[in-house]
Amino acid sequence: MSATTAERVDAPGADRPAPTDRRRRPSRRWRSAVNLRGLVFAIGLVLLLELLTATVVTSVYVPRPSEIGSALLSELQRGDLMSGIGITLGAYLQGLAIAAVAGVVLGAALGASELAYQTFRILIEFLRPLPSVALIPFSILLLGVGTTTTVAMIVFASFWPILFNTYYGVRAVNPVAIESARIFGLNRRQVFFRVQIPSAAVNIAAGIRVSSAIALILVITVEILTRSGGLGYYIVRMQVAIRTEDMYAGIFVVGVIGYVVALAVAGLERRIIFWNSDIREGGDR
Amino acid sequence: MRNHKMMGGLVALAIAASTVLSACGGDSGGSEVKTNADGTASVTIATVGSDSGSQAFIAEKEGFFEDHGLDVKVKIVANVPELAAAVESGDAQFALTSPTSIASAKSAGVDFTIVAGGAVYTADNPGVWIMVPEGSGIKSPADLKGKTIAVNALNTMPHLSTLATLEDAGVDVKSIDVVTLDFTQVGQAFESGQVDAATVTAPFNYQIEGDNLGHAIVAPYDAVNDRKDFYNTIWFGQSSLAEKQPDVVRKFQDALRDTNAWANDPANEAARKQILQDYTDLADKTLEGLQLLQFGDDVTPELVQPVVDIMEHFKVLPRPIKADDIIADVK
Amino acid sequence: MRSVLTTRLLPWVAPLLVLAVWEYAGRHTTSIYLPPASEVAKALREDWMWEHTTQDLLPSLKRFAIGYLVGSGLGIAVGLAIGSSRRVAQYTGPTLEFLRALPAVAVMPVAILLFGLGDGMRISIIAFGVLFPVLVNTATGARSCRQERIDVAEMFGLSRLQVIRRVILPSAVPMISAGLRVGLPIALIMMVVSELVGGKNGIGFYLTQAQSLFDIAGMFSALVILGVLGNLINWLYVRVETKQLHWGAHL
Repeated sequence: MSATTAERVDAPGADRPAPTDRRRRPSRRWRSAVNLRGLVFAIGLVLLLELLTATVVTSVYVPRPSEIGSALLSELQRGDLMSGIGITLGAYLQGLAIAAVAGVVLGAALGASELAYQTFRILIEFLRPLPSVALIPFSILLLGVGTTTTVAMIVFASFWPILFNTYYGVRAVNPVAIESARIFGLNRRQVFFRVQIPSAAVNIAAGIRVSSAIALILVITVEILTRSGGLGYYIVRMQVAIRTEDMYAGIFVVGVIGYVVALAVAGLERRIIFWNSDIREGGDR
Repeated sequence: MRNHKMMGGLVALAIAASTVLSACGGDSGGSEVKTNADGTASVTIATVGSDSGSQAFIAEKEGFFEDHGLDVKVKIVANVPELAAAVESGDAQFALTSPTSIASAKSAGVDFTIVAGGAVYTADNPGVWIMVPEGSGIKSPADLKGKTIAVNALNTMPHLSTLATLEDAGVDVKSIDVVTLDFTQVGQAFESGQVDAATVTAPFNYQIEGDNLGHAIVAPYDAVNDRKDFYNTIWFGQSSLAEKQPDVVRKFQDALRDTNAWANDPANEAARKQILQDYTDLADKTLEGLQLLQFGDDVTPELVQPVVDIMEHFKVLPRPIKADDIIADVK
Repeated sequence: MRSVLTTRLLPWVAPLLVLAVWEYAGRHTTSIYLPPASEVAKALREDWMWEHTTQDLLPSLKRFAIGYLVGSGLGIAVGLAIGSSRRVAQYTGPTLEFLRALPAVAVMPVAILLFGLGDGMRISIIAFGVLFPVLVNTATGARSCRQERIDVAEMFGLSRLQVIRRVILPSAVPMISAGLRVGLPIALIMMVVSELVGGKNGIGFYLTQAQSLFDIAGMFSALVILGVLGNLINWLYVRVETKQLHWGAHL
């Protein structure tokens, strides 16, 4: 659980993420131990569920873990589940990538120009808290039913954390650093691209981490609600076809994907922070 | 520097304005059908993933669309609102829905029109049942006074026909607590005693009976038209399409006519169930007991008016309409 | 003078422009799917003053509040346990990471099984959505507490619980607060999602009803309500946060 979910790393008063940096190295060393103990816990939980579903909870709507397991194995061979995973991951990555690019570009633009920020402030504040699921009917009208709507909804939901993190990151750069860069003869634009953006990288990475979790929830939810392609559609199709084990097998796969994505994003973020501190050290020299 | 910032703001404003404008621009939703080089017409149709939507699956599998010069892409869509949106936006030319939603649309000023028939209610094949949990004391609709009843969505045929059934049994419909619940969750709700009754369509009734969780007490559609036939589902499109390109509509009708002849033939039952399974992944056990729906060819006002009448009876429509107004005239 | 213009007046130009374009486009389009802004204002007045506010908005808000409180309370408690004990973190980490990715819609059957069809199920879905961001942030915040401080506290004879309450919790407050903030929009999404699938009241329910009756102005009015609601909740949160952070700093 080294993954964190802060919208703003630079919470009031906190110096740039010194604590996380220092703590991260030992946590890496534990990793092999984490997996073993985590595995024991997970297996214990599954066994407990197996026991419960075999004795106390005997609903036809709650399949036993062993039944779900065998359903998962046979479904994985059938190919439907696999193609669902492919479609879902495709929409997920596409949506997240668009949100990241748009969020960083617009966030940087708003951070660079007070005028632009003031122009869009109220519009942004109004749009930001709109739950994207409430926009699905409108999106279907404009973009039709299908991957486009799924991607658009992911973009809308995961865009805001990235935008705001970038904005705050660009804004929060130490004025001394900017001043000294200007003394060294960098013009405004150079300061922006060489000083402000790189030091906002940690914030941007944190924003993308938050969004990566939101986007995953969104992609499955939208697929379930609109029944278009992917794992969400697989889950709902199995539910409608009254194949409860297969439905839970699909849900299980979603959990696994979430786990893998969280690990991947945490790893990616470590690299960005590493790269960033590199730059900062280079700048100091 | 100041100039530079000003420009940035203006550019951003221009981008925002154009986004808004382009978003508003997609309004016409013209769904004109293009003719391909080989003379076929490309059409996208939207349907639901169940037996009532299976005409499209059958026609696609058995080649009835091709026989009539149609190059059809079949899309499976979740619910009535999505189907309507797909047609309104031009994403699909024809879609399957209940006559109730076309009546609602017409009444709200949306120009949809019925182009072909779907599943027909018949007294010996109603397709919808009011069910009660196993072991409940409820024997007839009269016992439902003051009870909680689950329907899949408000103001649709399962809901309105249930109310009509209760009224016929002398129950004050105001005493009923109606909750919305997806068909897929009714069995679970019965199992845990959450609702006293539920209106359920096939194949979920078979599942609930098979699992010994509940049984049917009455078919609510019997109360809609004195046990006479009416359309349970229909195909619709934009009125402008039916006016401008009646030939496409006619081709679609002809293809469905062949489909219906094939589907209504008892000899093809096994093949039809196989196709249904291919598209919906229904389990063998569920398919076995499934009574397949009958499809109708011609859409006459007599087969639609009962639906409009029951909507008006329960004051669902903001503006009264006639069945005639929502049926395409392409003959 | 110039800065007053930029901060006070400029922000209103774009929204008013959008409203004007919307009104113009709505009046000149043939599509019923873009009702002019004035139609939406009419729907707002007719539906939300106050019939649907009491019938749909209040039940929604109630579930939102309870779900958010339950979810964040659980998140802080479990997060502190995980953050202050390596062993707990190691055992539960992978399982929690797995559960976290499950979308609430997918766990709905389980929620129905556990909590029935009523408000309990909907509240549990909101709580489920809020739980994880709060939990993960709390754990990170708790872990960032310097070991020396914990050692000193233990040397002074504080029990494990006292250490958590007096030492670890205060230093985790900024991270917890960030997590609580991430949880807000998620709770709002979950509130709508839980009302889209079944139910008998709520803003999400109103939205689906308006949609099935082709009441497009009604749909837009629900969006406006949601936007206003989101801003109100955010504003309220910022106020509470400022006070609480102040309190945290003095602890």
